[in-house]
Amino acid sequence: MIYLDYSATTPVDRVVLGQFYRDVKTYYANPNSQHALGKEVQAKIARSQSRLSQLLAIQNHDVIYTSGATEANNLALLGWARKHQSSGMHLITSPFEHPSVTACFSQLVLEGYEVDVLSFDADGRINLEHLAQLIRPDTTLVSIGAVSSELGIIQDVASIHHICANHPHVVFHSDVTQAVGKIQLDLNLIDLFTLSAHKFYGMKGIGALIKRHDIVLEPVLFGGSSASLLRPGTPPAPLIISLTNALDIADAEHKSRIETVSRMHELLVSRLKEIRHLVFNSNEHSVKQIVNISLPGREAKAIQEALSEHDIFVSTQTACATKQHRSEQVFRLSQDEARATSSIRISLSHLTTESDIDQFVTVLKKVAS
Amino acid sequence: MKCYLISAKWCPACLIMLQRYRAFFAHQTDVDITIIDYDEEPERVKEFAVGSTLPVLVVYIDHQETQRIIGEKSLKQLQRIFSI
Repeated sequence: MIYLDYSATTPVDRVVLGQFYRDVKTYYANPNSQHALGKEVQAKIARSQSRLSQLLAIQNHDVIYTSGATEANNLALLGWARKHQSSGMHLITSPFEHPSVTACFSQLVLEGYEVDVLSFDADGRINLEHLAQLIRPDTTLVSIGAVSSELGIIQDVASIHHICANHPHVVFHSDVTQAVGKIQLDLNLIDLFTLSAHKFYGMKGIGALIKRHDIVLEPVLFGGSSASLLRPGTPPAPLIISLTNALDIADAEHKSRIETVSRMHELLVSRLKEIRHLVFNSNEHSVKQIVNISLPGREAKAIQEALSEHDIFVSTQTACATKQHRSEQVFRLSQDEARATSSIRISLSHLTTESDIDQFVTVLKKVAS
Repeated sequence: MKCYLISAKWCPACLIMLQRYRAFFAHQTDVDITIIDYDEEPERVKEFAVGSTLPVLVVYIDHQETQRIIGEKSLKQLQRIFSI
């Protein structure tokens, strides 16, 4: 089996899984309980959260644990927009967002908000002049993902921060789900950011919204005070601890992981160039973990299925938006229907081997011929 | 004029076009737009036999389908399509 869909999800790290198994058996008490075991679990969560803040190098930020990035994005966007409705109902986003971000903006439009979608350059980087022009007195939020999930394009977070910082009434939200563990990012430049552990070899079912202390949100879930008023429910202590553990390992192994991925990326790109008519959709601004290509004339689904028959797994689009037969992001960037309907995303990991790439390209050549 | 806009919440082109259609038809009192959610109303979507590209605006005049506008269109393109 050759798995090349690591941007959809990653296998859980063995160490993370082993510790999770032990923690499930040890820290099963409700951290909201006032007995000694509950307090012990509460203390364990607090230590884990403190270590998370240290690993992310953030100051003045609160961590709100969620079931993943989708829930975190909903809380950040709906929670901010609704809470600050009286200050303004104008919001700004990019066309390269994860469906959980775009869907929140669509919901807010139905509630009467106005949402502007940013223009971009030929490489898919947000037009910063356009961003500066779009901000109005009634703008309250700008949401731009640090790395796009389909094309892997890295946005200029520092410049976006500087533009937003000139307007104290505007907060900057970024979905950093595809960035964590892949690129170095100064997260203090972002007012609210969202992430999910299963993208960096952690467990599924745990993510976080991390926001500046002074940012006030309206809850989207109700159920009383727990770890946070913004996220009721019994905190899943073993999952919370596992998120920090996954990030700890990602941090410790960052250099070696990036070296391996860079090597695999270089090999993959050079081998793919052997295939006639193949077009690259990702570019030099993309993370090394994501290579998006098109084989114009072939249907993306057919390519995916043909590869799958050989036990090779890639994705056609973001896994959450597969109902359309073309990639909106590739179409938006290329304005080419043939490229958009034939695009596949190959996503690499430090677990990818030269043999994986060799077998993948060999099969893809047959599919393309 | 009766319009049905078939769109999905996760689709960026739908996010853009929902607002663009609303603004475009804002001053036309005889235009009524009904939004049909691609995911939440699959049976209604089936009736319109939409293809793979969203959003789709289906225009009816006197109960007859007269136009079908597929995907993202600029304001200028809409002006050309509707001869405004």
